[in-house]
Amino acid sequence: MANTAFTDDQMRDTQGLVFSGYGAFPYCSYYLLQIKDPNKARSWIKRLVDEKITPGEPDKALRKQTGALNIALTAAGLSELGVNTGSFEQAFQEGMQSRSRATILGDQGKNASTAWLWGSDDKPVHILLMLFSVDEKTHSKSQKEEETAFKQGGVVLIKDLERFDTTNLNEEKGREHFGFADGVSNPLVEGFSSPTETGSGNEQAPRVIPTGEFILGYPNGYDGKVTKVPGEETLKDEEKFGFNGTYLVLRQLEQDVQTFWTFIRNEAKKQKIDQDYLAAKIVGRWKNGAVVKPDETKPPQITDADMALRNQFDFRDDYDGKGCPFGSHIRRTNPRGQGLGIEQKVENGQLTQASVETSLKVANRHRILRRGRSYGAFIENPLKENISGERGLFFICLNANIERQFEFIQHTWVNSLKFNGLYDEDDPLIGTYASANPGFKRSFTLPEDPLRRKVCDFQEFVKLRGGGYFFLPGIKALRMIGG
Amino acid sequence: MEQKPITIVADVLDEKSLTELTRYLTPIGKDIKNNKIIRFATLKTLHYCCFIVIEDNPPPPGISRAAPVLVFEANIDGKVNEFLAEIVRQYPEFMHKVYSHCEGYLKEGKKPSNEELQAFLLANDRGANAFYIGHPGQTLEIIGYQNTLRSTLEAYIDANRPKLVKLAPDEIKKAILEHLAKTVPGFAQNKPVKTPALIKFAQMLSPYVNWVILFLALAVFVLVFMIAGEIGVFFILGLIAVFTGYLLFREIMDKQDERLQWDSIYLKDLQDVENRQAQNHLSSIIYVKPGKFRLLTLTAVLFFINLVAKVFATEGNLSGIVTIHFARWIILPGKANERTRLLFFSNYDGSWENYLGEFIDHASIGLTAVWSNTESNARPGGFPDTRLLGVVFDENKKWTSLFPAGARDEQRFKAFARNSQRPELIWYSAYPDLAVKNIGNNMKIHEGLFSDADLSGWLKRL
Ligand code: HEM
Repeated sequence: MANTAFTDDQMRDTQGLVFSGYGAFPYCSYYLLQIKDPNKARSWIKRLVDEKITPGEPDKALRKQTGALNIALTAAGLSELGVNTGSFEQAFQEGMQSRSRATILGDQGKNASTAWLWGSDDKPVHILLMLFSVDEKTHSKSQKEEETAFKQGGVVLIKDLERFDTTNLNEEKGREHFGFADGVSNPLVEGFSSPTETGSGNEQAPRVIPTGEFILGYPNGYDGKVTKVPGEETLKDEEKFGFNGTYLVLRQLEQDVQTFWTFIRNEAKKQKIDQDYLAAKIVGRWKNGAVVKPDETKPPQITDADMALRNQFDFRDDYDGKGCPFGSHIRRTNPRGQGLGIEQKVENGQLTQASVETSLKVANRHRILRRGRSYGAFIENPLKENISGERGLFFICLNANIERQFEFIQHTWVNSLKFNGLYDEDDPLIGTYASANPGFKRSFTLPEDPLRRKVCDFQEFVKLRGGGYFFLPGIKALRMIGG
Repeated sequence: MEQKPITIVADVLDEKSLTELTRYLTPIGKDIKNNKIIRFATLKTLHYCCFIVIEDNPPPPGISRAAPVLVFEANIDGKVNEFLAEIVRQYPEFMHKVYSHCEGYLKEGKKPSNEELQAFLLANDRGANAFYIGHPGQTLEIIGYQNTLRSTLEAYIDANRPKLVKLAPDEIKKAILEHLAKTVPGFAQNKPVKTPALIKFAQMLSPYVNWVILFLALAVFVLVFMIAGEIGVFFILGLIAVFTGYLLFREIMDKQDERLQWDSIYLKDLQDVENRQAQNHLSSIIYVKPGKFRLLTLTAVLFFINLVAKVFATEGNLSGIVTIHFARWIILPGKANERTRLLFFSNYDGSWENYLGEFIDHASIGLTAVWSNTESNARPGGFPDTRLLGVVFDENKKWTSLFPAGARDEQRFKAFARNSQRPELIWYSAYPDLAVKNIGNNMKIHEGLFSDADLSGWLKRL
């Protein structure tokens, strides 16, 4: 059976993206590639593994200072290279573009794969190459190097697709295009050496998510069982191919910033409330990243040092959603200690510890490590400017079980009209229920005293332009592919 | 009024009938609302129903393969015979056509009359060994009425919120009441149904089910002691010891399926019908492990679950699962040399993944106690390793991992469940847009309109 301790050596056998979003490297390119010549591609991969790939590195001093490179493959890509995918998770084998996955994800209507720029059955992707650099000069140099290398390596950039350079939106500490702090919350993972790198912990138990929820081969959230490590091939040390690997979900989500803020402005005017208040309720956090607390009408002052604090909360003191609405984006994508347990006991105006803990336990079986980046030019004032160009989020997340983690969040929490006892609304920020169900009227409920407020009849703000399920293999597994 | 399970099980005549039946039912299932043959919505006491044909898997060597069965699962208000009379009266052609493909339909070689068909159906109804109702007593009529009530109320608040929020809570309620009295016909007469005192008492006890059970067990011992003295007590303790020992022995001998593979030939068909709306249906069939011992254990466990479902789990919550509208277990005895099978049907909210997850997160004990007595045919055993029916397991106590509770082995259990599932030909829901929680909340809104308790809590429900 698999090794159960996640040691420094195992960390060095896992790709670095698992441990870090590479915040220190603001320049980034995602290449979506197709294999034309498997033999050449294998030697190309061998060279990448020998010289370029960035593994996890527990020792800060040993980490590369100038950039990083990681690589992930779709089921089709693995097959091209001779890896048997029969034992991989069903969702991965079928692919994000498949009909059954589309039904679960709600990728229909304008979000259907037939309308995608890439990743549909007729525009399949085999490999995702991710390149990160510390500055522009270094980046263009690495870009040239890698582009030349894969061209000679039997691999082509997909037709109609240029490589993407994600813009650095770092000026205001990583805001996504709607203007909200991004990358605030990520799970604390057992065995990761610097868990605070990408967010911080949650004081309340259970604080730490087992390694096996994000890397294959280790104890997972169900009493330390080990999620199936896929692969018929065995590596050195008799581990299966999938050992120290994980699944990577990529979705190119276009954001309609102007529509979003126009709607916010008009609706706020109509309801005689503050724009930023309404927008914050939709996200569940203020623009500066602080979670919306009951009775707050303005964002609290917080400093960078408080960044960590923005994540240390559950909903025990906001169990009726009067701060962070049930339907808001962050409450749906991580309900924390509320709404998933058996009992909902309230004492002294708070949920009891026991109620919080059962919910947390359940919520923690559906977590993802978010590693995405924004692309396209940032708009300072979406209501004034004449806006052109496309912008959005390359949503990337990592998980050991796509169906139980990413798909679950998307289906059961984001797109479900019934989340937490609601009746008729999906995630106001990113929900796509209406495009899958023509005629559906969107709404969003803000619990308030003495009566809930409601926002009705608004558009969707996010559109899916392409996507895929990838596998992010361990280093030894990549070496095996390289031959 | 009480909700009842109907489970009509009939053998399909032959291959030809099987093909014709499938060909007849499939298009109806695909167009449940608008097909020209049967509109289930005209049956005013029908909550959910399903028609499914279940073929026996190739059983192990030496065992006969059972004939394919047609199962009609219905969840209804009121009396079974009245419902059957109604469906035959409204849709005689459909019912005759369907059952003409089944064994025992013909009456002395001739087409039966409607009454005879009804008697045939009644004779083949197996009800359920255990039946769970999300909200007992909530008839289709009440569910519909309360939903209208809420929509009217919501629309009123949407239109008048700025005015209403200036009022005190009791004035808000007064305004709402006045509006409803004006706009909803029969509002004053349609009072919420009172929960029977006994059920109320049980609901109060339900957080302490474990204690209640312990108490009852003790009571039994005391009773035995009073009747038969020490000998009687020792006898019972001995019986328990023998049962436990033998159970452990059997469990240790069983082998779990190590492959974790979703390899059911029905997988594609299942995916085709799942997740098309906010609710789903699950039909599962699986062999009971051979021998009288397992059958007896299973029967006892189901009896117990039925009791818990009837007495304690009466508020849309089956030990933490809050998404089940109706669920049932039926033991299907085999004829002559056939295997005994366990049928399970559930009508639930949300996705399969969520449903199975809730099961594992909150109710792994109950479901392990049931399904650890069963096995898939392809590989003997199959169900994830279990000791003592999984009842000892407690995720907060490490030592209990010595007694694995099968279903807590999440991936293996999901594979087992997936592979036991069969796609239905027809599935109907009378209220596809209402979740169990919505029905519960509507009920509470209705109750609150006629009571003064907890005004601020009531306002939060709107
Ligand atoms: C364009 C699309 C999206 C935008 C603009 C967006 C925006 C945000 C923002 C502003 C936050 C709060 C800050 C933070 O914790 O980083 C957040 C959190 C989060 N989002 Fe998204 N998001 C998008 C898509 C998605 C998708 C598709 C998913 C998964 C299905 C997702 C899952 C999450 C999760 C899990 C969190 C953290 C919740 C927590 O732990 O508090 N997001 N998102």
